[in-house]
Amino acid sequence: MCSLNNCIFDGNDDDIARNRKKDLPSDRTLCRKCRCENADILLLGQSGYCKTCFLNVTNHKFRAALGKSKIIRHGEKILIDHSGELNSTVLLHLIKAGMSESAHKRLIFETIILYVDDNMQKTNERSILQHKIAEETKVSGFNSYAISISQVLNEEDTWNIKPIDQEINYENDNRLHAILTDLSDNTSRTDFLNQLRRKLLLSAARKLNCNKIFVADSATNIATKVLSDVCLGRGAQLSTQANFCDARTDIKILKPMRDFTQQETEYHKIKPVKSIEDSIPATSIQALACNFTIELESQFSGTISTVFRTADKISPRSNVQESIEDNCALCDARLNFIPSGNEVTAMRAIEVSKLMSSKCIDTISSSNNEENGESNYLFTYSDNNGCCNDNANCNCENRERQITTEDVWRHLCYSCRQIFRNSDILHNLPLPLLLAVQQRAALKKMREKISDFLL
Amino acid sequence: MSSFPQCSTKCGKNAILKRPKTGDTLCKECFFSAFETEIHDTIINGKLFKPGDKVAIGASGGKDSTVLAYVLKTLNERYKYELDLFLLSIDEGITGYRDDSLKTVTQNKDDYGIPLKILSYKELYGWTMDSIVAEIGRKNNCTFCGVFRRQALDRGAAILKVDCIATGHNADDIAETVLMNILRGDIARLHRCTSVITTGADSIMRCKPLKYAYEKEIVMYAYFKNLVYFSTECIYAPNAYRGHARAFLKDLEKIRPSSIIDIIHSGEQLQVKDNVKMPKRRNCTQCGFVSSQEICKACVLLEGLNRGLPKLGIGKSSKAKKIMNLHMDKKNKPQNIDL
Ligand SMILES: [Zn+2]
Ligand SMILES: [Zn+2]
Ligand SMILES: [Zn+2]
Ligand SMILES: [Zn+2]
Ligand SMILES: [Zn+2]
Repeated sequence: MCSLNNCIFDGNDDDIARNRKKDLPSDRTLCRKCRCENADILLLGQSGYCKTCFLNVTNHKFRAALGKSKIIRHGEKILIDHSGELNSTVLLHLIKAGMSESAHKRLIFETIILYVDDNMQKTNERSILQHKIAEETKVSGFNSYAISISQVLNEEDTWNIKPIDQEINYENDNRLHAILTDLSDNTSRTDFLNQLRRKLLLSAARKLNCNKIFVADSATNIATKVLSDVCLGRGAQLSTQANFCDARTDIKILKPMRDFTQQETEYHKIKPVKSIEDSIPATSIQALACNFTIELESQFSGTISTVFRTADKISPRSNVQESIEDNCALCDARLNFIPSGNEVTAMRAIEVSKLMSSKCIDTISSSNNEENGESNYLFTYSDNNGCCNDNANCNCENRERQITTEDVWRHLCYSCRQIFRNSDILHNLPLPLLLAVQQRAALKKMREKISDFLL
Repeated sequence: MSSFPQCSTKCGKNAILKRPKTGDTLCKECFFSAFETEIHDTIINGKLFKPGDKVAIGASGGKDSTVLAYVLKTLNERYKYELDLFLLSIDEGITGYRDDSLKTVTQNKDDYGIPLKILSYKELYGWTMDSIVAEIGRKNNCTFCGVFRRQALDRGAAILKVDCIATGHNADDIAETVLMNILRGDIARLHRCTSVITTGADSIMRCKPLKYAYEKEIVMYAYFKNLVYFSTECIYAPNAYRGHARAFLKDLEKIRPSSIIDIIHSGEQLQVKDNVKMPKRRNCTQCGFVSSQEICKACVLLEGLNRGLPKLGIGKSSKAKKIMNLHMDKKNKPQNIDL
């Protein structure tokens, strides 16, 4: 920086120290806990453990995270989002270990595994993978199911959730693939798939009578998601990425591994049935954020935990009222906070830029000479693009049963709108989402009608 | 030969540029008008100024402050803001750097007919950057030039009794700051870094009229208006960490140009949870300017320099505080700045 007076620099940069060579303790060869075995496992900034003690410590950490939350009740059914990748495989091991503890320490919930098949194109690999996961979960003894992500295009009651060893229903795969192709870039595709996956997990949990879901996000995953969410304009949602419990809907999504570093999951030395493909060079913001986080952590350790803890400390800025029709129909986050009064905002700035780049000034600025432009400026910014605001002839009553692009737009947050930029949103939004929009629009209309009588 | 597309505003002219911010193609006149009107919109709706305000434009000779000075002067005349504008430059005393950029600022003064006031680090702090570097070497000099510079404008503005300081922070700078504050966990700054106006107790109001202007568009504007600016990065290069954040932002912009403003939107949509303790902002007991500590960083650094312990305040703040307190009682009040 330092373009002199414009320096935002404030001197704190130097507080972040570069990684130094690990100071190894002198008795590094012995496990710090049992002091008799060799220390095979060296965690950053700590002395080493032997394999047995390491597993004991992580098992304890896992149970402590669950215990501390006081959210899980006796005998509750919990859905595990199992991808076959390392983290969720470790999660299964941790649960298994917790179930076989002595009575007073034992985990007391019922585990149900769901495998969401999202590799839509690779037909051969996918059935092999599903087969491997079926074998893995059979050994674990938990009830296991599988579903293709494309089922999310159907209405919930027609869904096909199959036991893991049966062939799953791929009927919508081509349709979903076509929708993704129609989106403008890989960033939108990844974001859309992430949102659909979350919707799918929630609905699947409901159908399988689970009211909580475990996802296997480690601190590293969370920091990565936080950074990419910031870049996607999802600043209001950072806390739901980082908090232990995401309670945006009636079904809660929990992150019992959020205090685990990637290093800790790797030290379990488990070979997952599915490995993660690196995407270099990154073609999406999510992949870019992932590479950036990992690179920065390798040079300045502590970056990941700082990002994670920062996100844990913030919340969305919001208007007071809070009911379902004020949430985004796709991501369930609150709709954008629009400050009262004439505060400037990025959203307003974008509207002004759009207007200025699409209309000739001669036609809009001629009305502007009165009062030195002091009064309320030539653009009146409003969030609803269109319909009956000032149009007496509008026949919006007739449209009540139909959904317009404006309706959909109005019920999506800033970032979810970005997904459908330059694409036909009415065509591309899955049916359950269109229904959700319709429901929200109807609720809103009802609330407006009775608003005078609400206390 | 119409190899150029039409201007998106349908003004009838050929477009000569594609706006990085919106992707629209515009002709020169429509671009000028869009760029200026957007800043006008920020000024009016953000209520940045009142009629009669004495406004100091933080002028470095760089592109941002040069464009800011030009646009503010233009808008002040066009929309009759009735502002008393002048340029405020700080001379850090960096040989070969400031000489050239001050020449640019002086030329801006002549070109735009805005009065110029130059204050030197020597006048404000008793030290030039060159003498500081001679004392501490190049390793931590950015701590000094950042901390001193931040306060220099406040100190200068207080001496000159201005109502408001307008700085040239652009959208890219703000997005970068949002990222930096998340990366280093500075929730207090994360909370306020997206505000278009900042005021501290007793400190002068600062505003950022270019908050939503893309750096690329600022360069375009200067280029097509033939505005002269001085373009060299500080010779004392920024540290590695901020460099990474900046490179990341550039990569993001390549993938999705809107991400700069998307990040600002993110910053505007969040707040610190109610139950999280925030560091109180208060005034430095030595110099009286805003500080999060009892003694502000500038005063700690100065104290170190004056006492021949230049590393003071660079490392752990607790250690610095201990040393400071030890010597506080013995020390007289700091010299006032005479001008
Ligand atoms: Zn051991
Ligand atoms: Zn959304
Ligand atoms: Zn034009
Ligand atoms: Zn510097
Ligand atoms: Zn001070």
